[in-house]
Amino acid sequence: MVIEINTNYTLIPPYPVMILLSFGAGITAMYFLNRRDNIQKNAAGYLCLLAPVMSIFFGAVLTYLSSGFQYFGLSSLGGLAGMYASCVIIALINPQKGTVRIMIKNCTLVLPLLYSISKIGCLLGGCCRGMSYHGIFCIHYTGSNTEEAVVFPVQLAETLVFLILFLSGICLEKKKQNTVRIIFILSAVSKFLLDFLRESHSGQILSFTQILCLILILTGLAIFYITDKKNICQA
Amino acid sequence: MFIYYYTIPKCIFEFHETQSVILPPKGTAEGLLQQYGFQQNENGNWYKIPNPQEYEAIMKGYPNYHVIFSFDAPPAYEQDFQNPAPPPPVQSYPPPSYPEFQEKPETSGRTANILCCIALALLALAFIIICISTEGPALMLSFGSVILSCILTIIVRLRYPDSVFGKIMLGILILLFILFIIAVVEVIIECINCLDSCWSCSW
Repeated sequence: MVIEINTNYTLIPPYPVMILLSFGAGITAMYFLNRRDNIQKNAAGYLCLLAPVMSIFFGAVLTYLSSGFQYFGLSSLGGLAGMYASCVIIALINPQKGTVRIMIKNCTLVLPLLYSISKIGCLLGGCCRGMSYHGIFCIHYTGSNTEEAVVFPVQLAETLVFLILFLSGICLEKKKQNTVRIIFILSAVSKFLLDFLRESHSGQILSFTQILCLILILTGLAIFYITDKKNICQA
Repeated sequence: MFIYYYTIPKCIFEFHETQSVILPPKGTAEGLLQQYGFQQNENGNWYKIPNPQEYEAIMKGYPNYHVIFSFDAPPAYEQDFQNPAPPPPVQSYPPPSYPEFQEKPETSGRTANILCCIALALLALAFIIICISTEGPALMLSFGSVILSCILTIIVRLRYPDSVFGKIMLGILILLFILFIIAVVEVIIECINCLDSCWSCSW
């Protein structure tokens, strides 16, 4: 079975539409999760204003730096850094205390949804595509905006994996104690592993994205270890 | 009457003027409290404002039954044989205000105006930079200025909510935000149209 994607767009390219949709869905979900956890209405609202702006800024800066000051783009890991930074900033500004953990927790739960929707944009736009592959569910790109190629549906795989992660996180959050931590680590591990299937990975042992994912996993584990130790000491 | 709030046993339910709160027992791990959305007031005491469903469940059992919340079942009730329990001392939950941000009105108004002026200056700086250059570093600097301006405006709106200048600044930023989205979409459509016309000329 071959998935045919033609990149001759008549009116509007799908990539910016899906990016806007992903921010819309992610930010709305984050707002409701924050409100559910008793974050003040105005603080939750201002986070919705700051988060996409900072996410785009950090995403663009990371691409600009990693490309050797050549071009701008939207890096997902930069976007993630921007989202977390906006949570920390709003929590620091907000007079309501003890909100930083709640905001970061909800941000972690929502990030897979954001990434999942944005990858549909990549799938339809033909960017971030997979390595050459002619098996089942391969994608045949045609049209003026991409070179003709038959590739592995890595964007589709990313969409599905991260959608499952988001739904699991939402369902299990209140039932299992360490759900958010597990979602964070699983998201980073999934991104790391799926990067092996990308066209851009060929000829490299570890890509720049994978190195950043490894740093993310190690940082996360270190933070969890320190937090647990602190909690045990306090108890 | 006690509330068994998921894995936190023996929480107390307390009314305070128009607000009701759940108070955890002393010595509960901070991480656990934060996980369940408890907050700390200015005295370092933890509290949680119950959501409407929790409040309704608590009121069903109040004051004769212990209320037991669990993840896999609806709230359960267990008779409190020691009822009527002596009412716990009323403390200031939730904090009505935050002393560190309580400034005299004229001082706070001045601070808010200064912050708004800086935010406006940063916004102007962003426009000037864009007018001078559209190179990569200039774009980054300009975008960074807008973000700083946005942060300063949010500081004003959250800490000095009565500031009129703050409200105007927020309005300007929201307007810019909408214009930015429209501009991005417009530029992309134009680029695609240009490319299409180039390809149709057999480039």
